[in-house]
Amino acid sequence: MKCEETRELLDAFHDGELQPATLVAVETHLRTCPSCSAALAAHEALRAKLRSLARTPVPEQLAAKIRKSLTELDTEVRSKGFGVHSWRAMAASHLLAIALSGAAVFGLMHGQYARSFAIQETIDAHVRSLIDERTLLQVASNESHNVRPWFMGKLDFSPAVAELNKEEFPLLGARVDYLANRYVAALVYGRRKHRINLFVAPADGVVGAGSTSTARNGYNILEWQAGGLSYRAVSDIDAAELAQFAELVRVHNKPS
Amino acid sequence: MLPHLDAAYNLARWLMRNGEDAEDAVQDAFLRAYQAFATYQGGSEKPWLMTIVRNVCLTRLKRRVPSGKVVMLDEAMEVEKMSADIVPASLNSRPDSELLAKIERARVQAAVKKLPQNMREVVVLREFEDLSYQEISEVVGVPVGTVMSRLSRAREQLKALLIDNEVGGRHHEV
Repeated sequence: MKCEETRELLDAFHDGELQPATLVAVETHLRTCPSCSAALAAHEALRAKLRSLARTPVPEQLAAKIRKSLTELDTEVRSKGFGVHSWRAMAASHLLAIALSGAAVFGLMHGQYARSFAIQETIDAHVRSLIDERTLLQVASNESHNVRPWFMGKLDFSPAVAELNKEEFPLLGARVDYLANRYVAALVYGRRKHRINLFVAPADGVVGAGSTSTARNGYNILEWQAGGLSYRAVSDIDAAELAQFAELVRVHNKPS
Repeated sequence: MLPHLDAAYNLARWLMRNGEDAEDAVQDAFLRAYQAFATYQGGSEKPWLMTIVRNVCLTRLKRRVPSGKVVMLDEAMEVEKMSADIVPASLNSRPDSELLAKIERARVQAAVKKLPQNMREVVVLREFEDLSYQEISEVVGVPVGTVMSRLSRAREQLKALLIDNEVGGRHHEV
């Protein structure tokens, strides 16, 4: 790589935005080029200066003012009957029947944020697992009696491992993953050339009945709870197939 | 707790260049965020909220052009006042390092504020709010490549003010 190209990529390099191959090329050049590495050093010096500026703390009365006006707005919305539709949509997607008190409003909004974040995290974990076949499976086996004991001592709960029809949804194996601030079981199934990650973790907080289905960026996610555990299935197969998969798992895990 | 309130407030301060206007803009932005919630498409929440804050600020800035200059003047005076404070100290003894750091921060702040708005916002979102190029491109509504080139130009400008100057200064001392 030449100096010119390096300089053009220097900002992206500095910001950690380069693809691995380009990153290596830039790094290699920087190691041997004093003038480019001086330019990078100047970038770093500038960043240090910028980051020495602390955030201005939020004035206390601003937070109070915002809370107050949101509460007023909420009261207005309810008394006029506006926005019933959006409220219902929100409540439905949230799965929780929250009393719409002013104080709860932001909790709800925040809950929605949190949920959206959880969905994104699930997709991220799924995609990450597929980047490299080696990271997808820590234990490769088609048989649940090999997979289930493998989790012993690795997790503080024992996930049921459903062995489904090998033609339809073959069990491929499992790994321990990290999702939403805890270690979770990730069971991996196949569907033709596609992969399904089934994340299992102890259900905490409020447990909703039924299941929630979400589609984002071409991925489908299905969540449900059973037997004190929460399940999240994620894949790029279509929603109907994923629902079929979830149903099979549910039936299999049901205590007979 | 209101999510991302401090990020929203600080972005508004950088854009409005005035604390009071920033407060009004943030309040307005949170009301809009609340009302727009039904149409929230998912995705990351912080860029979403930052987009709303930015839109509110830019709309408000369009309505008030002259007062921005007044604020800049205030700040210029503040930096000068602080620099004046330090002169007697540096004459008598070693300058107080805390005061020096304070002046340095004021200088950095003034340099960022001097950037044109389209460069200032990418610097703030990248360096202070740690958003990715992709997220910044969503907030600002320009392609990722444009984010990168604006960031690059902004950094050149800041380096000229804050880093090269310093080197020049040292040369004088020698």
